[in-house]
Amino acid sequence: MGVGVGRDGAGNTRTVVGTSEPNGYLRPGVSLNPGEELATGPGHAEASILDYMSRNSISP
Amino acid sequence: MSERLSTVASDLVERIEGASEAVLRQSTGKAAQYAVEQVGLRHEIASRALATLDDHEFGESEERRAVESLVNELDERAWDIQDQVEQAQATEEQYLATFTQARAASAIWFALDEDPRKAALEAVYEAYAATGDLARLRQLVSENVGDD
Repeated sequence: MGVGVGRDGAGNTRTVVGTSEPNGYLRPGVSLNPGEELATGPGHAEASILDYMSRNSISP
Repeated sequence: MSERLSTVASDLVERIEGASEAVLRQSTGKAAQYAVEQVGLRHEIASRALATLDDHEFGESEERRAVESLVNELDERAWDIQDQVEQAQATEEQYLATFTQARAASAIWFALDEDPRKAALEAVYEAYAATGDLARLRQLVSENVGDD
C-alpha cells in the first residue's frame, strides 16, 4: 500500500491511496477518510498512485 | 472513516445499514457461502466454521479461531507465491487462487463476528475480494433485505 498527495488544476489538494492487491483489496482495518481516493492496479502501489494522478490531472 | 465496502459499493453499505439483524445474518451467511463455493475452498476448518455459522453461533469460538489461523496461513502462502511469481517460479493464476481462498476464509471469519452489522459489511467486502462478483452479492443482499 502507499499514499500520495497531489494538487489538481483547481488547486485542490488530493490524497490518493494505492493498493496493488487484486480487485483493489484493502486489508482489514484499512479504510479511506472522506475525500481520499483509491488507486488500484497491478504492480506496485506507488505506480498505481502515479498512474491515477496522471489520468486525473493531478500533479504529485 | 468509511467502510471498506463503500470503496466498491456504497449502495450495499446503505442496504446493510438499514437491514434487521435477522436479514443481515442471512445475507452474510449466503455471501460467505457463495465466496467459498466460487473459489473452491475445500478445507475441514472452513466446513466446520460454515456449520457454526448455520447454527447461528456467533462470536469467539474454537471454530472461529481455527478459521482465523487458516486465513493467516493462506495469506502467508499467497505472499510466498507472489514472491515466486516475481522470480518467474510460479504463475499469477496460482497467486490469485490462494489469495481468493484467503479472502473466502476471511469472509467466514467476519461472518462469525458477534456484531451483525460489522459481520455483514466486512464479510460481503471479503466475498467481493474473493469473487469480484458484485452483481451476485448485490442480489444476495437484496433478496434478503426484501424479506424485511
